[in-house]
Amino acid sequence: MNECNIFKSFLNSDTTWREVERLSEEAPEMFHKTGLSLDLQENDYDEASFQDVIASSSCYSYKLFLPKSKKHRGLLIAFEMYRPVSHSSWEHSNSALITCAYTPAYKDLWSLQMVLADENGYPADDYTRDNCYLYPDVPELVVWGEKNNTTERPKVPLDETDWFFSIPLSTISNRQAFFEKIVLPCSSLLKGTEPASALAVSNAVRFNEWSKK
Amino acid sequence: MLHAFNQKGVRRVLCNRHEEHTNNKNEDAITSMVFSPLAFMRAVDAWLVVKTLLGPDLLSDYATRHPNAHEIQLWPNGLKAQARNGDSTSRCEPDLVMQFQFDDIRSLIITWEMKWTWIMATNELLYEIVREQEAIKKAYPRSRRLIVALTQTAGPIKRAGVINIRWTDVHRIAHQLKSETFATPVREWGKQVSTFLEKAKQISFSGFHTLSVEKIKFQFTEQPK
Repeated sequence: MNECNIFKSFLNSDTTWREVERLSEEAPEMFHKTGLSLDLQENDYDEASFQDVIASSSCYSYKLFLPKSKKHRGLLIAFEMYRPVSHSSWEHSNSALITCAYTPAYKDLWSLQMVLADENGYPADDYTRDNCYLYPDVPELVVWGEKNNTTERPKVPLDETDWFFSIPLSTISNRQAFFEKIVLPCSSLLKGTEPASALAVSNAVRFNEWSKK
Repeated sequence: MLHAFNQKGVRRVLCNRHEEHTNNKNEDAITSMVFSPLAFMRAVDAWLVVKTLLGPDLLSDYATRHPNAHEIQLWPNGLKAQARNGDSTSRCEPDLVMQFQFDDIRSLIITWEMKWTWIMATNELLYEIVREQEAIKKAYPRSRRLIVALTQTAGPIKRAGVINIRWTDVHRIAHQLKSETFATPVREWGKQVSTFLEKAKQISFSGFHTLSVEKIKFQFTEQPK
C-alpha cells in the first residue's frame, strides 16, 4: 500500500478534531468530579492567515458554577493546533497547546484570539499583552491586571480574577491525563491553592516575560 | 437485537433510508443490540458489565458483592403508574429493567430509560423517569432501586437517585472491557459493543495521538510573470 504523507497529515488532522469534539462534550463530567459544574455554551473556530500559512485553533466556552454559588462564571477550553514559526528558541514553539482560561463573569469570557501563544512564548494578542502579566515566580500562569512590580500578587483571590494556563496537547493522551493536567489544577487554583503547587504536576508551559520584549 | 426483533418488530438497525425505520425503532434496536447479551451471561459477568457502567454511582453496599442470579427484562409488561391526568393509572414501560440477587443483601433493581437521537425536554424525560420510579417501586417494594437515564446529548437529569450516562460512556466502558484480563463473555461483549457503537458514531474521547509523518515538501515551478 502506498504511503502518502499528505493523506496521513489530513488523517491526523481529522482524528485530532474529532477527539477535540469528544473531549469538549465529556469535559463537564470530569470537572463535575471536583465539584465544578460546567455547561457547554458554544464553540468558535479560527483560521488566521499569516505569512501564507493557515494557523488553526478552536475553543469551547462553558458557563461555570462553583459549589454554593449561583454566579455565572466562565471557562474557555482552547485548542491551538499550529502557529507559524520562523526562528524561535521557545521550547513549545512547535507544540499544539490546550488552554484552560477562567473568568469570574461569563459575560466577560476570554475570546479564542486572546489566549493564543506566539512562537516566542508570549500571548499573541496585543490586548492580552497590554492587560495581563505573569504570576510572580509562576510563569505558567497568565493573570489579568496591571503589574506594579515583579513580586506583587493579584489583589483578589484567583476565583475573582481572570487567568489562563496552557498544556502541550500531546500530553493529553487519555481522560485521566486531562483530569490531572487540566481539571485538577483548575479546580485547585479556584479553591485557593498556591499556583506553584496547583500547576506543579501539570506540565504547564512556561510563558516568556513579555515586558522584556 | 433478538429482544427488539421479537418484541418490538424491529427489522433494521442504524439504517435511515427506510421510511418504516423510525427513530423509535432505532432506539429499541440499539438498546437490544447492547443490552440483550447480558441476559445470556452468567450473573457475575453481567454484573461486572453493569457495575463498570455505573462506576462510582453504584450503591457502595453492592460494589464488592457478587450476585447469585440475575434477570434482564427489555420493555417489561404489566407495570403501571399514575396517568398524566392524575386520576387513574396507565401502562408504564421502561426500556430495560435489571434485577440482581445476592445472598446476604436485598436484591437490586436497575431501571434504564434510553434516548437515542430524540430531542426531548429535560422535564419531559424527568416525567417519564418519575413514572417509572413509581411503577418499579410498586412492583419491587422490597428491593433497592436505581434508575439510569442513558442518552446521547440530553442535559443531565438533576434529581436525587437518577444516574446520567451517555452512549459515549458505554463505548468507553466497552472499550475497557475488551482487555484480556476479563472473562470471555465480558471481553466479547466489550469487543462487539465497542465496535457497534463506533459504527453508530458514539465514540468517547480516547486521547490525542498522531501518526508519525514527515514534513511535506512541495516544489512547484514559479510561472513567469
